[in-house]
Amino acid sequence: MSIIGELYDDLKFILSYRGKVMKRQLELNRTAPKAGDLAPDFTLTDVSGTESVTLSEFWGKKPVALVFGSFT
Amino acid sequence: MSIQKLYEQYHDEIQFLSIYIREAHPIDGWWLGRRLTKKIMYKMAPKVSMEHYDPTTIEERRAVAGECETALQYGIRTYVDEMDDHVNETYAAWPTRLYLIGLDGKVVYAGGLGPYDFKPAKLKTAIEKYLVEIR
Repeated sequence: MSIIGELYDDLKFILSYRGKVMKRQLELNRTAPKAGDLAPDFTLTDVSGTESVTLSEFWGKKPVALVFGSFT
Repeated sequence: MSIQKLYEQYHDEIQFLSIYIREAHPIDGWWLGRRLTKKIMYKMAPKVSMEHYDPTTIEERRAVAGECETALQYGIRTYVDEMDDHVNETYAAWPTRLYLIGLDGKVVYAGGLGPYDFKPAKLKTAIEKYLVEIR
């Protein structure tokens, strides 16, 4: 396949996903916490599955920066 | 401005939590490891993995999160969202997002939707402004 053909193919694949994922994200964003809202509490465990953290344990002690992401 | 630099600068005053969520671009999903896209991605985001399938169990997700934690070496402890993606969806966090939560448990800064609005520099501004307010 030519480079143009490969680029077109890749772009078509990317755009096929982009529409539906963005729609879902915009839907979720409507109810996501905004500045001034109480941050929804949660408890999660670390990569070993043994140590847990609860967001509210920091209230009154330290501000918290949440960094969301994945490896891919 | 990188997350790592932010952490190094403010970790005494701010608790950083890395929350590992559903994969953005797994091989069996919206994969960016095809042909030309792979080459472009390696240039734009060299630390992003293009070698992982979407985890189907919490154990798999924890394993990938562990690899990510090791690879990125931010120094920030990583916690893993459960397979129901509850925290991810509550915070509309996918694929990547930043928040600053104040001492009163209220959101001080809610970053825009990633990846384009994932802006550590804006988080830095929010942190600096907030620290002045509370000191």
